[in-house]
Amino acid sequence: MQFFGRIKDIQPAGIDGVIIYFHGDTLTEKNEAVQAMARGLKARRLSWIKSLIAGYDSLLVLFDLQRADTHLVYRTLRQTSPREASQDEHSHYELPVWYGASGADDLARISEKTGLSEADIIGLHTNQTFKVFTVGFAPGFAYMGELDEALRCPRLASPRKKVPAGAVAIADRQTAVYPSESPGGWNLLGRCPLPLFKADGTQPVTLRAGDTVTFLEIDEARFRELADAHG
Amino acid sequence: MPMGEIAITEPGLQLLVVDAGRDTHAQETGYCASGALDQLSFELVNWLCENDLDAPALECMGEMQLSVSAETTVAVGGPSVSVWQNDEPVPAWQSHSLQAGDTLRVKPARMGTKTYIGFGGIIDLPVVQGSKSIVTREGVGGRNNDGASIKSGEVLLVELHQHHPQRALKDNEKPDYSLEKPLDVVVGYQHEHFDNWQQQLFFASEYQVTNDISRMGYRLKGQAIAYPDTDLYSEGINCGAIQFPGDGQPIIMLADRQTLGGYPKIGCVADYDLYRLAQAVPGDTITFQSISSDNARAKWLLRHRLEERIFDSEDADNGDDT
Repeated sequence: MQFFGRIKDIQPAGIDGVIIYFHGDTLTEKNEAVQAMARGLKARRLSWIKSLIAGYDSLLVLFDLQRADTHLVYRTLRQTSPREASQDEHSHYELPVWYGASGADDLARISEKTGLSEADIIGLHTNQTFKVFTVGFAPGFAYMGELDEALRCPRLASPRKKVPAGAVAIADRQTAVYPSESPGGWNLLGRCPLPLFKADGTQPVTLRAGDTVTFLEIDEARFRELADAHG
Repeated sequence: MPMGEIAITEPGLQLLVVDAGRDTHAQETGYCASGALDQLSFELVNWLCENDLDAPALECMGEMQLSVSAETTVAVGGPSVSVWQNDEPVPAWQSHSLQAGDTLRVKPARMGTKTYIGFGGIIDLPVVQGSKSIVTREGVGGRNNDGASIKSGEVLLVELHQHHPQRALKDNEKPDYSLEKPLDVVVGYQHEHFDNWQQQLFFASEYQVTNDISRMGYRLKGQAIAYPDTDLYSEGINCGAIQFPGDGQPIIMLADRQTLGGYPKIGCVADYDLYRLAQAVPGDTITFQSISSDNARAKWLLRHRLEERIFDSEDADNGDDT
């Protein structure tokens, strides 16, 4: 029952869903509790669990109505030990970024919002290993964090209609790469040439919750080279 | 199996291929659930064609027309839809045999409802995450796997079944799309954070379906519901979740919803009532009533049993059960 200590609240989420909220002093701690519970549940290979959708501090458990109900979910949570990630369970990715790339350059604006020089912004973004908190919103969209407090940057007042695929962006204390062209309200740092989402599944980078990411500065020539190679 | 061609001559307002949706685990990597908005009508046209209940079918809005290149079983279902085979009116909710060169035309009485057209066979399209559903928002699915809806002049290939069932729904087996009864809502998510009287206000109010409806979600308008300021991180959204953005007007999330979102939610429309919502058109009035998750599950199981009785009936007639 020790793990109930990490669970703050459990709520129904529809007929076939239960959402669990987790405690923690920081967002990273809360998210670790989410991931540990998701791993614990996955390890049990319960065939009546249809889907485990992790949020930042929550886990949505969707189940097969024919074979389960909320009471079975509660009982199962009580009997499930959260699991820390094993070493080989998560991948580390190094994502190349052409900072200040045409079409994805808010460096001046970010500089204004944070008071940092453009070099400091790039430095803070490349010097840290980020953790993927969750993947969602769109296929392959990975929410990573947490940014250095100095780089904290509010969203745009009005979102852009179009952000190019591969745009590397920051908002609040999070960073992300837009896997495909979409509207978006985050501040753009540059562009990553590696595909993070292809409908046929051939993308070289598939970010999953718990994975770690570092960003590597490249120049325009290298960007073009890599973009061509991954067409 | 012979391949047949279905040529779309008039696609209507929007024509998509849909099925039961993606693998249930696809949402964990950000793919939307996808699939038919009105799963009940979708399953029924598949049953009429003697298909697996999750076989791909057409979902269309407005008047559409197609022709076939070979003998093909078709079945059409949806709210008050008229059907013509070669300009001769034929009934909805039963299987028909189209001959090579025949045309099929459908026209719903009200603009905006969804009509489902099943074919006796398997539509040949790319499979993404276990589904052939076209998801326009993601640019996924369809012949070129780019999420484009089906246009006039396009041809769909179908691996046709060689048997041609004659099935029809009895009147009492056809879906009741009426919105007179409230939609059941399993309260949950952030409901405890809404003041009690705001919850009561929501369940006591009538809401209109707005023009702002899509496969992602339906925006309603009516009594605004207030929600105290809180920090809410993005979290998983189940189908039917009722969320309130800043203006306090409900949005009900549907098949193509994003997997995560950060608006407060009061609960979730029960799965068995979602087809009625999906068939509502702008201006329709909707009301809600709360139900516990246990009672909702019991109701779901009962409805499911009734549907299974329809789906199993033909087998019993064929003596497969004995």
